[in-house]
Amino acid sequence: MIPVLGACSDSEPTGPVVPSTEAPQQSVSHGPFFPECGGISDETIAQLTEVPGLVNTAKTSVGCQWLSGGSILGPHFSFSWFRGSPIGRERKTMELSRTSVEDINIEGHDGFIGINEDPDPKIGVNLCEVGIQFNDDFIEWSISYAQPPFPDACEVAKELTRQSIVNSK
Amino acid sequence: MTRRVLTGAIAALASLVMLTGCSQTVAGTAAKSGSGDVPRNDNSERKYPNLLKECEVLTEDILAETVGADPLDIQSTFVGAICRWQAANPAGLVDITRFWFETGSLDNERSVAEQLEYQIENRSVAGIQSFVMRPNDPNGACGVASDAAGVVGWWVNPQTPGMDACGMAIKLMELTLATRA
Repeated sequence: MIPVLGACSDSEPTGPVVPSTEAPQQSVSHGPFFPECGGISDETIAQLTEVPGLVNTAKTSVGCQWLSGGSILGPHFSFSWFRGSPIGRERKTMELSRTSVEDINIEGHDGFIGINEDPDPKIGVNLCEVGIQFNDDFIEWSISYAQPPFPDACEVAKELTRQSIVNSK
Repeated sequence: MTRRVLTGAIAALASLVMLTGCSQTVAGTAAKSGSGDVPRNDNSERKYPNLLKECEVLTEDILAETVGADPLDIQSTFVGAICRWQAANPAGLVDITRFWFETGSLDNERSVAEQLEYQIENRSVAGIQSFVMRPNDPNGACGVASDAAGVVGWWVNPQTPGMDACGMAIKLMELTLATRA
């Protein structure tokens, strides 16, 4: 990759790791308030994901993460609330890395749904992420399974997103 | 987005760079940024030179060291404008969260922290206006947000009590703000 880039001296310089420009602050419009973890209880997560022994390991102002036994070795489930961050960037990341990303509307709000399909047909769609925009904010539910059997990851992601939107104020 | 299959993302990005590295022509019609019907917040066509690099402001070694873990005992679980890691302090696992909201603001973060009923302490970190937030967590979870390039924040969530999570989060913020010098 480096020699290819080196051959193009007139190409755009690569960006710095830390964004160096101050963000434009004009007319930023935030969305609704989401309660902690999108208002989703540990019990609801356990019931919908059908994974026992989940631990809420990162309850923060920007979301929550549930891991099996509290460890990253296993399925990952998370809620994230982005406040003043472009949903387009998150979607682009998924478009470059996932099997497919499509538009979705949940409870009247637009966003994307991305899946990853394991090459092994016995595993199938093991990851589904739903992002929904609220003005300059967005929320994202990420459902990632490790080993089958597991329920339809997108049905889990969509239901958690729906409940979070209903819980917003 | 969750970290699993990120290797694929990097490979996809690498091949994208290889394919477009020397090309100067792009098909399509030029349009001014922000024009058209697409809301500016949902424009996937926009250039994102820092895609997938947002989590690399501090190296994983520094993250691990700051929360008292072996540099080999840390793993990323989520990447993007919100990044998550888990590190193994000998006393117990520690989750680390970083956020960077480029059009966010410290005031909006404080307003959310107030609505979440966190204990809030305004303070300066490396000369930058900031606040520390503490939920009522038995393991002492602690977050810090600073007024920098929008708003930047760190959270440290230990899975066992007895760690200085606020001290760790503030240290991570000091290191982050130092990289902007």
